[in-house]
Amino acid sequence: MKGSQIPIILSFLFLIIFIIPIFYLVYGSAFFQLGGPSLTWQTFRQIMTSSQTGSLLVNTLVFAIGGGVFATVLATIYAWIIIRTDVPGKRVLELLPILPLTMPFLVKAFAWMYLFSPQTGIVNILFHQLTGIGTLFNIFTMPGLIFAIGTGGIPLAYLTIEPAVKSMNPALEEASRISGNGVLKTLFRVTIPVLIPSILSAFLLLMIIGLTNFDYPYMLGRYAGIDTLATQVYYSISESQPARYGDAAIYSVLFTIMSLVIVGIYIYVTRNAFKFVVVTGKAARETVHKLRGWKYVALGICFLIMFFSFLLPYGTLILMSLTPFLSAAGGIIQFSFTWSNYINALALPLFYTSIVNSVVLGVVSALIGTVLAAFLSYAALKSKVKGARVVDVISSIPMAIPGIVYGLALYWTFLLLPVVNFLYGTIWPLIAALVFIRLPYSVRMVSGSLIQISDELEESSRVSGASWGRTFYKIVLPLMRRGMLNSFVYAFVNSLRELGAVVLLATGNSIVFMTLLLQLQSQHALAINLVAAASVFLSIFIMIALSIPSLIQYVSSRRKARSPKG
Amino acid sequence: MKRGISTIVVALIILVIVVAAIAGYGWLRPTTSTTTYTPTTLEEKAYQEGSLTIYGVMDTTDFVQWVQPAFVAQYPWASGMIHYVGKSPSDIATSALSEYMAGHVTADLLIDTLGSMESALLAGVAQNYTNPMINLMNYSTGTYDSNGLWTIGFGLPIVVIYNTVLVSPSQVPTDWQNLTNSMWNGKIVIDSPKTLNVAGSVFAHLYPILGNASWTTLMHGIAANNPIKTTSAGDSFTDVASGQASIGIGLINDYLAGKAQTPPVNVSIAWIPPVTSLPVPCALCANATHPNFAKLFLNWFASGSGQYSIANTGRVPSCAAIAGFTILAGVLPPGTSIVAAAFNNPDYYVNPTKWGDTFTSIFG
Repeated sequence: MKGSQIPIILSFLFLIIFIIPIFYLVYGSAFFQLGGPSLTWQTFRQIMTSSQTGSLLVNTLVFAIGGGVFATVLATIYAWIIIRTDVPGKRVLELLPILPLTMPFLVKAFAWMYLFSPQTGIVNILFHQLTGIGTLFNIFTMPGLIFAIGTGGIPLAYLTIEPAVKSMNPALEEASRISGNGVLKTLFRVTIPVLIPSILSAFLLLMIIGLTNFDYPYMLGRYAGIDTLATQVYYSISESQPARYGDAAIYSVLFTIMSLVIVGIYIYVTRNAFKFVVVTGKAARETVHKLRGWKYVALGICFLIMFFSFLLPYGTLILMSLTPFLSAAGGIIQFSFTWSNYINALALPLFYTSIVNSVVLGVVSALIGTVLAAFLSYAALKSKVKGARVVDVISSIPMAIPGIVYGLALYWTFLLLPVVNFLYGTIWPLIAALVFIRLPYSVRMVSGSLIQISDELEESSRVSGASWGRTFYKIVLPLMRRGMLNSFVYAFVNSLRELGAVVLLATGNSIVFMTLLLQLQSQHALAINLVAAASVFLSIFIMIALSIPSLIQYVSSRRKARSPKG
Repeated sequence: MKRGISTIVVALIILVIVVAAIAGYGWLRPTTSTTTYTPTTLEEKAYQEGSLTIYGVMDTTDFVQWVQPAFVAQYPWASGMIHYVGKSPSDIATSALSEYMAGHVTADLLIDTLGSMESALLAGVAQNYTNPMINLMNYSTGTYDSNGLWTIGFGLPIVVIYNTVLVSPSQVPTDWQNLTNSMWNGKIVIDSPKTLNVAGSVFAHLYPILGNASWTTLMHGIAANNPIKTTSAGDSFTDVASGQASIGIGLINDYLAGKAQTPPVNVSIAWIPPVTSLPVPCALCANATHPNFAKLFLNWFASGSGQYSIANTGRVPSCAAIAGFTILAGVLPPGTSIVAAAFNNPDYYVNPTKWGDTFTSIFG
């Protein structure tokens, strides 16, 4: 066996390991009774022909498409303003889109409820008191859910679109301006058409995230009776007595088919994405449109986007954490100040256990995921072995499996598969879930660095007599380090924020911070402010984690500057 | 390459330091040191087992604040040995059952609502245990299972809760039929009846009283008002207190906790007959890894000290004498009697699947 075949073999091994739980999902639901009804043909027919399933499919799709459009449009505007215009405060504006990542969706949902609940939302009550008209905005509606997922998705949409805006050829815009077109006409006639592939890619990515999102439909949808496939899988198990695993399996399969279609389109659309990333020696120059007086309007637009994406929900979270309990019944807002939520959060018996578990889970899953992503990226982009391109498709498959579905599949696997069932109740099933569902994103991040490495470097090493392993270790790995670091941080932060994939797997011994928050919110009366205080700790922790790459970059640039020239 | 590795190592070190700093607060907090130890047979075995894991429906904060210290006061060596995991009633049943089937029993003891736990009990998750305190404390029938599958725990009187700002005194319901009134459309909150928890058990209790036809009409009438369905009665209480919902079905302990807050929440209660109490018994897990510790705890839980600690959490002890002059004193209207929810409907506890399906078909 040649060394260069190792990544290909690893990739197929990964595929097999990934598929085993899917088999156990169906097998466990069909043949293993856990008190509740199992999977039968009758249940299948009943579910498939029910109108409820139809509305679940429609809700899931509308939520995903709406959220995708909302986030992509706002992120495109934001990216264009800060990259292509002379808007003031660019440096700060460039950093801001990262901040919303510090707030998990579940936590943001609490803030949106506090602000936009039709009965008790502060904004709605103040609006009613000022105008005498009913509700300004009801978060417990489909548009409300779309607003929530849309504002939540802006950072990822921005990070997807921003490189394309930066790297687009300025000559096209310049030609348009020379022809007498204004800034807006150039934007709509030239810039946006050129950016369509990356905008479409961002939209599809956001749509997949919306499709698989559990947090918002669970927290906000229940007040409006809006269920999606993600919540239905959860309700079938955790809110039915006895648990209806058969129903959960049918909804999971439906859910997966739907995601597979979207992911298929995404893979097709982005199949040439890497080809656009061309590093040349030619100096790139960005066109900067002079907005004159309009630049303050542009600044206002950017501020408004970030206000709804981060400042407003985060400010609300802090306000919640400093109040004993908010009641706004009958339009009377009761406020008082307290530190007790923070003190009580620190005194929670599972607080430290869940933090330690979350960090261990994050570090281990991010490490495994990043190493695996390095091998898969290498196999997809650099391997000369026949069929290597299939690896790219293989690594994208987990994207199509919603977190909650894969969590259920792993639940059955660790319960029934003799080789691994001794790990049930430990943190390992959660690690497996996070490694697999985050892998496609890690692969894309690592591939981004790998594509820029010329084959000649490897060839020189091989010609000099180095083995494949030595070449990979000495040449390829160091050049991939930036992508790997990004992948590690992204996977780590998202594992701290993830709820859907772990909600069915966490047990008493493997409780993580997000499941603790959910438990507190749903089980303890009047605990929402305590949850807010605990969430502030989590967001600070995520902020620290997110700042690590910049810190490393800063330290290494300082070191480089200090080292003697020559 | 070296720099690549060093950057990752630096990142990891920073993370570890932060985690250690936060976690250290918890680890370094002083704990009661092990002191006097009086050996008795069960206590000796429990001590040797060294650990107890409880899956319980009681709020973790209440358990840690009231129950655990009372137990440790009696058994000082048990300090730091109890792992309490607060879960929803359905989660307790599902986790216990799946762990039992997989042969990895984590919990030693379950404290769960009887309705939610029943399907797991029928599948064999609990082992028989006759609590000696039943005879010593003269517990009444209905507070324990005569076959020993579940034993003394506590009760949670079920009440109608309403927001005093949103509901005027004249609107306060006096019977269950009132919940079908269209003025409550979109304003009622209940824990999802299919979980066979609070609303489920009170509805099941009404079945033999009303008869099939009237009961079905009542259920469909309530469902027509599009109630908000929550995962627990605690969640329902939060919705009523915040004004998200005007009225709901809740539990007395949440009400008492809300009134004790500063400032107290704008919630009041109505005792609608028949007044029922949700039975929350304990069960000793089959194949528990610490069975003696679990038995020691069960015995203590049924003792005067244990039952007083329950009263301190705002819940109602199974021991009627203690309940009468502690938690219910001054709260329960004179002459009101409380009966165990759905004990008049044995089918509810024998066929949980059927009742789950019935509620699903009505409430979704």
